[in-house]
Amino acid sequence: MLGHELLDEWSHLRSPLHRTDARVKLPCALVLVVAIVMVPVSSNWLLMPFAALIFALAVASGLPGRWILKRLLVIVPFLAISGLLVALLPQAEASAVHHAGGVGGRQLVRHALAVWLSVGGKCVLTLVAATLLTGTSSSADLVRAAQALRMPHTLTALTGLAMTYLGVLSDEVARMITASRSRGRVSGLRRRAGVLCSVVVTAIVRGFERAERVALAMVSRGYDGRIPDLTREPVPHAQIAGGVCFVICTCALYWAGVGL
Amino acid sequence: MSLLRVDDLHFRYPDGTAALTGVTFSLDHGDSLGLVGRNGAGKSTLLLHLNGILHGTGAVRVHDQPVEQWPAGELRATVGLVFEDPADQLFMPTVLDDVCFGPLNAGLSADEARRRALEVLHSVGAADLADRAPHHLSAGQMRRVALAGVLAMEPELLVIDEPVMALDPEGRESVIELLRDLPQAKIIATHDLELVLEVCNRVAILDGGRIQAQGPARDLLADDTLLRNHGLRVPASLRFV
Amino acid sequence: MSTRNPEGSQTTVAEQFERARELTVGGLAIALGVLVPIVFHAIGGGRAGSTFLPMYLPVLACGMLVSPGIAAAVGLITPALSSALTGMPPVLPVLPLMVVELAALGALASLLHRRLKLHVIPATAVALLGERVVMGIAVALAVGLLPADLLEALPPPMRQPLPYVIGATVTALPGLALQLVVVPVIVAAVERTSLLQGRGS
Repeated sequence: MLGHELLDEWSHLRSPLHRTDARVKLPCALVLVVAIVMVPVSSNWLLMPFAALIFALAVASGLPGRWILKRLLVIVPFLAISGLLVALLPQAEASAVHHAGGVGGRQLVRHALAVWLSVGGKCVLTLVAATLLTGTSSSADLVRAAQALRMPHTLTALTGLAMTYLGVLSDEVARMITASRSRGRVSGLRRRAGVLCSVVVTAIVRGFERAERVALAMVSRGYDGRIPDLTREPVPHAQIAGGVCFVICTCALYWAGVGL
Repeated sequence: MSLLRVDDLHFRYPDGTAALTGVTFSLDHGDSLGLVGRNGAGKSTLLLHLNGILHGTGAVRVHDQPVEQWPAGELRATVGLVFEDPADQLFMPTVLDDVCFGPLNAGLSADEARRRALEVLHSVGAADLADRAPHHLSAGQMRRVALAGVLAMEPELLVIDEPVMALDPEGRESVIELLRDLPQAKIIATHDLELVLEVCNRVAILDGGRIQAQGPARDLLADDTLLRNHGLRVPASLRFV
Repeated sequence: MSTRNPEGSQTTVAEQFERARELTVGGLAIALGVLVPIVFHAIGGGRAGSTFLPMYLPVLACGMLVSPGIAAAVGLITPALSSALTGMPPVLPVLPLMVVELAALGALASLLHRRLKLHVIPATAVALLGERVVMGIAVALAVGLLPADLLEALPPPMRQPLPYVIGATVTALPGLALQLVVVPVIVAAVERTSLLQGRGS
């Protein structure tokens, strides 16, 4: 139920973005995310061209819009809560300023709104960027890309195992939830919490037990401290050139926007 | 010279549970041994001794050389272990990478490993799965790929734990055909006595941590009293002969 | 039985297994760290994340079972991968903080339980306490070091380290209690069933 939706669900599509090698997409996505995160609150408008760029990429990706929007749903509560915080706290400050005979209460509120738009906009845009990357690449391609970027072996090996077993473990969790539901509807907060705890504890214990069996299987096939890098073809030169162009354009957009 | 010889093997888990209490048997080239017994009889524990992962007291010899004296890599390539749950064994992100894992560890170049992996995948009828993610395969396909991962190491002895567990009849039949066609010596630990009849020429009954009886498959599996004493039943195909 | 690894040193089967086990336990802990919060949100609803700290469970339990380096790597990767795949935690402002916190949490748990041989219950308690201290230091460093432009983007409560840590800790009290109860149960269960526990000694 969970894992397959997170990885590899749409990696079989054949859009231009899917055809681009993950070894090109990963660095491009990283540069894009860093550029978006670094946009200062005073240049909030700069998020608009980045949003347009990401929208264009999303259209080019051929990924279903509903699926991308569903991913975004997760951060709605976070945006709402941070919106409340930002709206309430400065108003208290503003009224304090007002009572002290100062001016600028309205400015403070406007500033708080800008901060919220900045944080919220950045969260949404970076999440869509990450979704486009993971939605258009298979998990194997992502691991290959991390290896090609010379990430430390331990990190790529751990990430590869995590992505490989995400589907297996989520199927296991889904079966446990179904089993607990099939034994009748659980009512009451306390009992629901009990069911939740037992599912989670069992899932973690079984996961670690499986980890031992996987380790046995690795040793049985001659593992001696290093997981071999994945097989790979060279990246076509045109794609490398395209990636370099993308990075240059992203950086140019950022510098131009911040400089203005 | 026998391929594998196990003499008076004892093993106790760290928590004190005695898992093996004097196992003795041997296996020759071309042999196919069905290892049967009730749950908890010690089958899986015994298998882990055969490629040197567990060490008990007593002797496990491959080609008359104690496993302790084998270089680990060579032993693992000689005795290939296929695990019960293929999901535990398919730990690489794609099928091809998984089958390449053993050969690459054995020191083959990337090209050689890839060539061998593709050959083996072809031989188990899984050539078209090479680029797939292992955990999106059907149970039967996963079995084949898991077997390919071990066959790619070109073992002389295949040790297989429950090869048809949780397979539908069609998947089961195709795995049995595949096993029957493999030329290597085999030890197959299973509850599926029909499978033993179809694939193995010999049977050993493991119970209480030791081999209680061994002999030709058709004779032993027809002995109702013996089987019942060890939590087993005569397979249907022999019951009405 | 032994073999020579590429560096030329001897490794025994027990060492090979231990290295493989650290990697697989770490890898599966990351996968669990992505999944468990989804289950919490699915069953527990809305704010289950900041209250019950579900991502801490696998990371902390993993820390008790592997070496500090792998445990820190697990803490580093888990929130980042979860953020990329599920959107939670959000990239700003929570993700950078969680990366530091969970890396510290895993490494501390491992140091206390595996190196200093502290029993798992006090090790859990001290690791959680240490993680809160690291959280405070990380927020203070962020406030001190971030350029003014970016600092503005931090929500107002995060601009004051001590009140922030206290607030976050109060919110997470049920979660911290949950860790104290559940992590020892998980670790005991795994250590008991571990096939090769103590082998080679």
